[in-house]
Amino acid sequence: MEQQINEQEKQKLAQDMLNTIKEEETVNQLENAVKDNIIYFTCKEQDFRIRRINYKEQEAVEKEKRKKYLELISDPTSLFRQQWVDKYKEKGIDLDKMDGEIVKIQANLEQKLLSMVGIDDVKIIEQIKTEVEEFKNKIYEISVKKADYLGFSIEDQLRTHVLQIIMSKVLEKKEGENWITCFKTFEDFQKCEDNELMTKAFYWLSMSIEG
Amino acid sequence: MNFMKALRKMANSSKWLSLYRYSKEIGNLKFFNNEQELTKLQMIFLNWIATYNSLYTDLASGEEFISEDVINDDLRAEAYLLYRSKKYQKKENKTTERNKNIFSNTGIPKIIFTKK
Repeated sequence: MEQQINEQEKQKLAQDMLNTIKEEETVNQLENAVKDNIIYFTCKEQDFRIRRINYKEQEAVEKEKRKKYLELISDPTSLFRQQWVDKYKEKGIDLDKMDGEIVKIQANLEQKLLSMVGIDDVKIIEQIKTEVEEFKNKIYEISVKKADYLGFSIEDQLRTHVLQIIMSKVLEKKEGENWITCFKTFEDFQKCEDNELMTKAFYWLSMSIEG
Repeated sequence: MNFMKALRKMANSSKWLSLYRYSKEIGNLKFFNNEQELTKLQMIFLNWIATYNSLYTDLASGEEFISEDVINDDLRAEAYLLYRSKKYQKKENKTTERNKNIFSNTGIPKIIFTKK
């Protein structure tokens, strides 16, 4: 019995240590990402970086953005966000109501948070924390649902297209001592099938630029 | 550990808080490698460092409801920050109300006589 308890304790300590090591790795990775405006990361043991877009590239992106916008508004099946909201309302899905729900839950969340101020009782604090997390999860669920509904809007499609163009220009990989652009053209980027690289790269790109 | 939690942990570390304080006093101490074109990540991080710095300032000033336990607990720190912002909002509203009574539409200050 004593041996069993010691074994359990040992496993728990090992797990705690592993969690601490993982936390340290995350913090180290973040420190590297924060210290410069060029973000370095690794994927499948290859070094990559997201550099800043230069002025000439920014001009090229604006030009492509205008072209895409014209293409989208000329397409009768493409709708703006508000038009999608109106379309969904016809089908009985009220996206404006979802916004109202978020505001209500946010107000309740704030009340709960304020009730935590000045409290020292650990049990009460943990109870309030659980309730706050539930509110946060609810807000997140509704926000994701709404984003899914509006994913086909002109605004969202345009935003995705712009991010893809930027990515095709700023993602670089290390070869020897040099950094070279991963994709020579936007078409090359569109052919890329490395999902893991794209997931990581877009994640860090979203941390690099606004919007 | 999720990303935002890790970023907050970094912002609340003595290393980065000290660097933040020294960089304000020493002109040429670089906080980041780049001096311009901060990334969104750097801006979020700076915001959190400034927030934690203000929390420690409140602690040093003996403000109510703040302690090291509160600062080191993400949700409790958020609760305190919300309480603090509501407190400042109330103060600001009171000041605005008071100023409304002093100035009429003509812009000429009114004198308010009160009974003692």
